[in-house]
Amino acid sequence: MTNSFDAIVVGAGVVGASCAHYLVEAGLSVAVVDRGSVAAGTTGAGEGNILVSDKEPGPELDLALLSQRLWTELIDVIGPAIELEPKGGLAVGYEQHTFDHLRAFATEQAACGVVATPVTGADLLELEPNLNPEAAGGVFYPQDMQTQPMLAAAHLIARGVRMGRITLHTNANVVAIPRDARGAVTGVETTTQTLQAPLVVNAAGTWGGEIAALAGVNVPILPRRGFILVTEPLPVIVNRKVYSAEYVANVASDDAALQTAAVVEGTHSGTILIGASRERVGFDRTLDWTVVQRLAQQALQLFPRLAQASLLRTYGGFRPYCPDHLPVIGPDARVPGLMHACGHEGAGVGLSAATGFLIAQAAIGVSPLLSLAPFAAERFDAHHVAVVHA
Amino acid sequence: MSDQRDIIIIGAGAAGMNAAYVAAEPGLAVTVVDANPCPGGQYHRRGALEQRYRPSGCSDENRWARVEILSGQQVYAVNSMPDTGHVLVRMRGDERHPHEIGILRARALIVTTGAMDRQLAIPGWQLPGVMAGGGAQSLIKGSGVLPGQRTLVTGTGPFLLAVAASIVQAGGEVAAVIEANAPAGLARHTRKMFPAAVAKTAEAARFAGILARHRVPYLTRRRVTRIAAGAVDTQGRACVSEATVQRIDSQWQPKPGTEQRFDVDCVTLGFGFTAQLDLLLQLGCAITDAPDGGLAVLVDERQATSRPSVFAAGETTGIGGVDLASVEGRVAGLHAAAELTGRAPATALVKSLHRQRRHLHGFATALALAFPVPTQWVNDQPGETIVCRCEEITLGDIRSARDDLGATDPRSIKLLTRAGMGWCQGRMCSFSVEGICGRQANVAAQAASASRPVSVPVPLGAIARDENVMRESAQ
Ligand SMILES: Cc1cc2nc3c(=O)[nH]c(=O)nc-3n(C[C@H](O)[C@H](O)[C@H](O)COP(=O)(O)OP(=O)(O)OC[C@H]3O[C@@H](n4cnc5c(N)ncnc54)[C@H](O)[C@@H]3O)c2cc1C
Ligand SMILES: Cc1cc2nc3c(=O)[nH]c(=O)nc-3n(C[C@H](O)[C@H](O)[C@H](O)COP(=O)(O)OP(=O)(O)OC[C@H]3O[C@@H](n4cnc5c(N)ncnc54)[C@H](O)[C@@H]3O)c2cc1C
Repeated sequence: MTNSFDAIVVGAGVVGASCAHYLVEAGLSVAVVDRGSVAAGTTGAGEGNILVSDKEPGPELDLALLSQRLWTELIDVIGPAIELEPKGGLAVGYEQHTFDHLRAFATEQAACGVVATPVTGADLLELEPNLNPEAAGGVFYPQDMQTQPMLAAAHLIARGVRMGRITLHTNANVVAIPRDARGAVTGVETTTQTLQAPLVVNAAGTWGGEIAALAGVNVPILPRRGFILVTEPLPVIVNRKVYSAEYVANVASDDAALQTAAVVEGTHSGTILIGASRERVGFDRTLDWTVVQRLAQQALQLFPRLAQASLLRTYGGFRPYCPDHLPVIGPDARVPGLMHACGHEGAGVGLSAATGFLIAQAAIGVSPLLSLAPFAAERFDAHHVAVVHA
Repeated sequence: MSDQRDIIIIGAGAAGMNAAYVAAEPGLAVTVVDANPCPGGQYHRRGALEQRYRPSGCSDENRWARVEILSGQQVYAVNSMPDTGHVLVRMRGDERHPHEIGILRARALIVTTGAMDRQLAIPGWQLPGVMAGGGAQSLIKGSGVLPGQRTLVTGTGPFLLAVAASIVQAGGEVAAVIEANAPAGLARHTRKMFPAAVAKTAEAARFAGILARHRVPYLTRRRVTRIAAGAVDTQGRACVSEATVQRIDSQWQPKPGTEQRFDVDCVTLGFGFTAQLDLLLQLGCAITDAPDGGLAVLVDERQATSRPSVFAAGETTGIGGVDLASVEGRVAGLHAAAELTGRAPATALVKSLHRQRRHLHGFATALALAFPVPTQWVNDQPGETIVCRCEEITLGDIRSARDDLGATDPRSIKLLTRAGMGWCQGRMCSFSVEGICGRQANVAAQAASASRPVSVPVPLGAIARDENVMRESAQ
């Protein structure tokens, strides 16, 4: 087996898998390296929402819209196994003033290409018959989708492996990123072997800062904890992905304290997922029952019928976030051959397709479909001067 | 009544009840919480009418008067309060009262949640009429119901004799006892621990005598390799009608051409037990590997775990039988009480308990070594064998996640196939999945797949309304 590749992707999460996929599509041979199994990190600890609805106008929304388009194409490439469902999202305002706020937000989004339809009364209940009838109104986002992120990551990689274009190295911890005299990366060293490539993609999610440090650069990525509640399998109660209006405010928030805003959705297997809390408490895994209770209360406010449903389990993980809540995507100007694809916070599944696509464009020197400037790793350097495009 | 207790014991089996009796020093409020309708645990299972289980040597009713027993309460979560060090015990009522939930607060906790049957997937194990050995025994002891008309008792260990004996004593027929190992191995391992071995060997001999009187064949170095269903019955169910038994090698791989068929309507499978560690894992207690290939909570001389004021005894510290559970329970009770009263327990008593524990523990280890349970063979069965019964995931599904999708450990197998995500939360399939993964999973990986943040399902409505949580967070 050769140890030399066109590119090495560190991290077999959904972002790494997508990078590997589009690099292969661009004609490169790729090694994917993970210290655990496929989807061992946050990809195996979150939900699979692919959303445009929760993004305010700006670079992240542009990325989300591109991703949304690419995901619909991916269904044809990898097939039904990834449980991709274009079910649409419904943001619900319980009080009149939150609904008004939602509507105003939707108008701004619509100007950027988001399809958003305000719904009230009977129309709302037709979309979600079990929704609390007291809700003031909602906005329906037909572009929102859902996938099973672990399966998405696994199948994207497996396809490349079957084609003979991806070599998967699991249980291989990257411990060094050697560089040549020019300072350019030459590959990675794992606990078991040395792999060579002129291009290393850092897709290590929450641990992306550690990989960047191995290459000698700073990329500030921190964990933001989240828990999800899982019910017993039930007959369909929830059709779409339904969330309360507060959710959008929390996603963008800088507050370290606990935030919860229920996002309720059904899955293929009949279970209902209730997410998600957001807290900055480092890597502490201890379950907090205050969080569980708040999520349960908010979910019941949306769907009173869930009161009878049993909580079967909870799980959670650590979203990779950057201080400005934008991911780090693209070549690192400080280290030739190093690219980053990490720090996607609570949207890595959704944004993974566009991220992989843009990484592949950069790898073969095609000018990117979206400007990578807002996502540049150097933006955190003290002396960095942002290049403003006219 | 206030929610504050001095010592809370979770599990009213031999370990928990001994711990409670010993811990009930004057001035200490001791509470035992148990899921079953009455105390006694696995071994001392009685009909619901017989309420009063008293472990032998625990006859001082003044002590029992200080012990509060809450039966029919399932503990779904425990956690320790970072500020006060108190442990919060969250429980819900039984199947008929799942919405009734409550919280108790303890200064010290003793976890004696026992063990559950360890299961392994074989073709046909999901059929009605197949059950775990412990399950069959509980059925007979608890409700006086026979598991079948004619039963094949299979698996490994002296426990098979106990199951077979209770079936014939309850008037059932046992077609044969199929032991995968060879009991001769035991003598080699037990020679050094004579006192404990004698009592246990006598018990086994008594069971063997019962089986001999009923002319039940005892066949060794064989295992059941396939269980087949008969015609569909009036309720539309196809129940067990036949089991195939084969000779096996030391890794339990079947030898071709040795098939032997038994016409039976019930098959029991006994592959040992799995310690119930959910609550201890929630508390973050250190876990270790046990000689039987499973996990156990790590305890010191005092039965104290790695977490402050959390003790454990009985099967949670490693599968060891009812006598070891009783002794460990006493040690835990003594030391938990001593920690709260500040009075050291009598040295002579402690010494004698420690000595008994050492002997019984040695015997348990010998048993585990004499009746090993290899698991790699699980992987070599037909692809259509159901592994996860809750989600109906087959061996073929798991093999393809492992071979084609890059899942190398039980957690990623679960994420990619749903094996272990269903109602039982992997309690039935995790040992099989570890076997299929091949690579001996390390303790951390095994503990990760055994950890369940919610031990028992709880209605969302009950959680949402729970005022205790609100008070807790208001503090
Ligand atoms: C509760 C919760 C809910 C969420 N819900 C959603 C949602 O609905 N929609 C959405 O889009 N996003 C959601 N997210 C966020 C999403 O899960 C993440 O953004 C995404 O999974 C990140 O993927 P990744 O591939 O970058 O990282 P990861 O999946 O963490 O992958 C990184 C990989 O790098 C590996 N690695 C790390 N260090 C090394 C090393 N030294 N050597 C080798 N390998 C290494 C890790 O083992 C890991 O497998 C949620 C997150 C949480 C916690
Ligand atoms: C069929 C069978 C036959 C056996 N025969 C013998 C024998 O012949 N000789 C021998 O030495 N040993 C035998 N054993 C083993 C013996 O039963 C155990 O060693 C003994 O019961 C261990 O005692 P324990 O207190 O540790 O656990 P257990 O007796 O299992 O008690 C644990 C208790 O904890 C409760 N519990 C668990 N989780 C929770 C929760 N979350 N909330 C509330 N309550 C909970 C359970 O309901 C149970 O009552 C046999 C076991 C079985 C199953």
